[in-house]
Amino acid sequence: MKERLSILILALAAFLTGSCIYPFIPDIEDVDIGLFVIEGDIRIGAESYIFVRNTQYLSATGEPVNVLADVWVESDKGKITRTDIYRDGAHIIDTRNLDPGDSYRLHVKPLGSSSDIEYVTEWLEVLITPELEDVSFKVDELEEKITFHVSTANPDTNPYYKWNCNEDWEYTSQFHASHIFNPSRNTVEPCLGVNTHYCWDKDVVSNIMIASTEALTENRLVNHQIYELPFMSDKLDYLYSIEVIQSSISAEAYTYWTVMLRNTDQTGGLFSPQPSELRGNIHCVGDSAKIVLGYISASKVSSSRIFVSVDDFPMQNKRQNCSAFIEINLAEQSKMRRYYYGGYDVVFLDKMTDMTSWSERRCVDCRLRGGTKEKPDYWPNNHN
Amino acid sequence: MLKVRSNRLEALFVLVILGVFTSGGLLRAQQTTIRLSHVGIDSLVSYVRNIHPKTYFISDGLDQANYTVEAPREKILESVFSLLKEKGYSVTYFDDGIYILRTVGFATELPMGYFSTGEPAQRDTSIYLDQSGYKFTFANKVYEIGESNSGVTGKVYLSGHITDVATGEPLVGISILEESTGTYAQSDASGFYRILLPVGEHQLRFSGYSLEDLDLNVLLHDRGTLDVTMKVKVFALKGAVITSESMAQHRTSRMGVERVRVENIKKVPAVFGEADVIKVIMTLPGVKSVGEASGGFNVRGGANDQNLILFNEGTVYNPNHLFGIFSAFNTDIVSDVELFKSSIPAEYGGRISSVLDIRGREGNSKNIAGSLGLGVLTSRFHLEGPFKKEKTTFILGGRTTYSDWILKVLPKNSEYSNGTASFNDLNAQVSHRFNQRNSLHFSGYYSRDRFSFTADTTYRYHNANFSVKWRNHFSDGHSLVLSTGYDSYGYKVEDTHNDWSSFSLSSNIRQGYVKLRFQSLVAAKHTFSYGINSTMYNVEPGNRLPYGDSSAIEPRRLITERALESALFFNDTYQPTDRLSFDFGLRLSGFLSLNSRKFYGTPELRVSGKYSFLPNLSVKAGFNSMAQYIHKISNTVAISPTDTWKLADADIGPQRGWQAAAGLYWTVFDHRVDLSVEGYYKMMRDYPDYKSGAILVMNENLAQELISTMGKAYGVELMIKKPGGKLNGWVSYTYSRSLLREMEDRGLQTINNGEWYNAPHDKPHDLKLVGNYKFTHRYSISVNLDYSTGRPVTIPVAKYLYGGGYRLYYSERNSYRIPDYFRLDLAINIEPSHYLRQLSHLSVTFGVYNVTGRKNPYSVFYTRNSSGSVSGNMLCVFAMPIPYLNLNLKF
Repeated sequence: MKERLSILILALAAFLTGSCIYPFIPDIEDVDIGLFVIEGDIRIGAESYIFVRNTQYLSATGEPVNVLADVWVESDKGKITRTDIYRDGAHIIDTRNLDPGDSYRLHVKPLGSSSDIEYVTEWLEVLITPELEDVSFKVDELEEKITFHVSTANPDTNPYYKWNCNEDWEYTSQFHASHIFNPSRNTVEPCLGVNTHYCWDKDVVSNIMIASTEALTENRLVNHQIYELPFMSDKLDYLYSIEVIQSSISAEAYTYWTVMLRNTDQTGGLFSPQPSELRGNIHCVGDSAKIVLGYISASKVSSSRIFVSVDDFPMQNKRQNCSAFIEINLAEQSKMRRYYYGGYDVVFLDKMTDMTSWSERRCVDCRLRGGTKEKPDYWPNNHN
Repeated sequence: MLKVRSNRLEALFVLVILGVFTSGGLLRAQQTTIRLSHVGIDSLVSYVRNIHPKTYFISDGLDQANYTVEAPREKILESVFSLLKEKGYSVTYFDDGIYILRTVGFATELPMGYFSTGEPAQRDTSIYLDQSGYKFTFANKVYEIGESNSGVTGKVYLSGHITDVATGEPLVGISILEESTGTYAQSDASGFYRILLPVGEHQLRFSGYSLEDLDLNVLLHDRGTLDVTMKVKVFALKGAVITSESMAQHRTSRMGVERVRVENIKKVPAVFGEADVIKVIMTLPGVKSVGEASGGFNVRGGANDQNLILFNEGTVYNPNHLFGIFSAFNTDIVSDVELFKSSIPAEYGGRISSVLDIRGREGNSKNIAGSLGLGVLTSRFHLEGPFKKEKTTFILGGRTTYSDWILKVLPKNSEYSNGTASFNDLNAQVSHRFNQRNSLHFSGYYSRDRFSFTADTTYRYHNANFSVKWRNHFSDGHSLVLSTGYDSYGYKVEDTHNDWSSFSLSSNIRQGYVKLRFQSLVAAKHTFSYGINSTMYNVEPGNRLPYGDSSAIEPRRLITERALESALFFNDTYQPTDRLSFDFGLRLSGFLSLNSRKFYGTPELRVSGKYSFLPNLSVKAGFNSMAQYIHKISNTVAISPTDTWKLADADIGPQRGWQAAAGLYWTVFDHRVDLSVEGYYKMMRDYPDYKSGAILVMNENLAQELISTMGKAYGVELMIKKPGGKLNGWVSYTYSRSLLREMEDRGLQTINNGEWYNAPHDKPHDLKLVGNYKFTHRYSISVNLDYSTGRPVTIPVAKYLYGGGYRLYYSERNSYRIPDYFRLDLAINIEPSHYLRQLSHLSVTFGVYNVTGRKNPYSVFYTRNSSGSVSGNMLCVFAMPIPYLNLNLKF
């Protein structure tokens, strides 16, 4: 009987290893509710980036269209600072020299909307963010991930913090090609100019990273974890850098981000809280019933950057699934052409034998994995 | 002054010991050998009658066997009787007569005068059962109560205890009917019954589900006691007359009362084979849940914190183990479960939706017995028996789990893979019977759960209850039940993910209570009960303390809330005619918050009436109003391990609700099938909901985060029930709605713009089937089918790019329904063989939960992909067929 039982247990275990979450497309009509979404903060001491977009229906593909708008910051002293530049969807306002002692509000008037429609935030006091005392990472070998931590202390009483992170990373192709095939001349030439081994890519961390020290005896965070990356992440390939931008936020902003976190990242579980309404601090002048999404804060931010090198954590086997080299003699020009147009490229040339070794192009050209050769200007090495 | 004159039945009704019998001088004969060869039963009895003229035998005409007996003359009767006993007859020497009967459960006063205790009748039962109209009637036997010359006239009280013949356990809910006058009574939780009858001869029918019906002829001269033992129907394959349930249905005006005995609970297939009280409750019409493995249940559109769950009088705040996969009650020590979903007796209060009364068993008063159970996730044991036979009994039960492995086998990247989960529960009950009129019961219960999903966060919660109950039948017509106890519920979360901010968070409810209930039988068909309940609450809403030496968490304890809830109740049950019956109850509940000195009082009305067109066709209608002074504070749809409870105070008032209901009940096919239709309409006010972004833990100004909602629910429940026979079970269909609406106007913030919206458990169509088919005594199959409309959830209407990723925008609450729920479970039960002399019996249940493997979603939700877009998902708890094997060893 005991044996039968253990067989059953095994059978059950097998059943349960199947994931409990299945993809599911709810049968709902795509309705474009067409609400305006205003994103960005008034960053005193830096440039402020304000984005105006529309909501999209759930199954919509592609990024939302950026809406061009008349965007300006108004101070309680009556000073108006307008958008300088509009670039990549961002309305960039030069708020570097604004007085943090003043209160501000943001005005957004989308172009093309009727003349009496204007979106305005509440008056916002500028919150001065304390310096980041420390940004560090820890290697968690058990869970095979790297965790990122911040330490900060605020002499002020405001206990609410928010972080935004920008990531840059340098990665390599599997092979560092010494030569390259020139299809116009059917020759194999040494790589001179630009190498295709080192590339850079970047991202914005989309997690909502917030914390409160309300429950603590002092307004201080010690090694507070904000973010993590598994060892196997593509971002941890050669050299990774994260810029942590810290801002102090108000209690209302903290509630707003908490609800957004709950509504977006904590739904569907057995004990998940029910999603709730999320209203920001922007309202529509001229039509008070019109809903506009977004929460604008005003703050003077602080930031810090750290690097994580591939040597900082246990070696991971991240081979890019490249096939064995294909050997082609320099004389076989048509074969080389065939391979070249079939998605292969030269890795190196053995001048003693005139044999070239070929691999998939993605294995020698890092640009094919999404990045560029644009090295960030602060990057600490000189790979180009 | 109240001297009880009960005739001493045990002196009259003794076992026939043939040694005594023969030496009694009845036979004086020569040493010759008598041989009776191949005679039928009638001839055999005739022969006995020649020797002993007062021999009584009721022929059922079915015994076609031939008997052969050979014995010396002086021993011939002894031999005949032992042969008859072998063939399944009982031979009873009574007064100066000999009664030869088929062995059918009946007995009289304790110690039982029952001939073949615990012995199975070794005979071909199918013949017996074919005789469906066969009722054992001890037609020639009249139980005389009191002295024939007592000179008493008018009506007198007859009372007594009904117990199980084998275990001595009190039998609850047995119907007692005197047919000629139509007087009706039911045994209470201690097996005690009381009936008021005119002096004279009566025929009493005792019936109860899964028990052999018992008809007794009683000649009442005076008030007295008649203790009755009844026998579990071993041969209840078909044809047996089951009348108790339907009798109760047509005799009382109460409606929406569902009683489930533990035997039935054990038959219903359950996930991992763990018989489960609450999961069986969910198979009844009008009871729903937000999803499988979600703790809690919803009765007739009520919320899951509006059910009063009582276990041996104590309140259980969290009835779940293992996130809700199991309920926290060990069925080995449960006797029966009663759910009041419409007519809630006035003695209960404090919740506005329903009362679930779970009664623990009393121990076997004759022998030490016990069981061991082995399931896929849990194992359990129980032990029971007498400390002192027939006087003091105990029962002890426990369960533990080895469920950790279930989390260990989850995929490594799932959020549960580093989790652990365990639970235990322990029950103990000691009952002492001082005498006929007094008994004392001690009950203790403890359950605990501990689990973690990640290595650095641990959750624990516990329920603990202790109670003492005294039952006293202080005079013929009056009795009282006094109980007092202490309940505790609490949870604790330890979060150690960061040394600097490691904390423990806990919350506790402790309550002490006293319940006193008097019951008096004013007239034959008029019962009046009254009493008081009083509960002292002590709620610690939250304590957050640093955990570890380097933690900078500021120790904080929210102010303990204290309150006193008391109620005075009256209940009058009056049955002017056989056709008509009324129940009028009034409960005056009062609540005093000792923190804010705020008092709330509510008169609660509990009325119902019944009219029977025919003995088997009745209509009923009722109205109930209720108040609830304690609220569960949670914004999850299921009962979660970190729910806190909040007492009403100056800022947060009580929830109040009422329900009006009407029903039609029809028992057809010779009392074998009950048909019923019940409809209800229900309203509630001041049910708490929360503002967006409300902070519910460690918040001392909770009132600012709350908004009041009102609710309405209505529905029709159709049910066909066949309580007995080879094929038994029920099928029900319910159409119901449950809607909520915010009571305040908060402009743009108002939930659903102030319109009605679906409650999270609003599942309009609901079809349930529970069936059991017995092939033989040993083999049976059970089926459980559950279909319902998908529950409403709030899903996003739009997405938007924000902060580097897509976010979701929700609009109307609960406007989308997840796919319909359908589940079919099957189980094969193999009962132990009926060689009852064997020391232990192994019963085996093999089953499959969710046979069709349907992926029933618990929820539908959207997640952000790494690629930046959003995609729909559904979470299924048991998305595969789950086979199980359960072994249960009884000894």
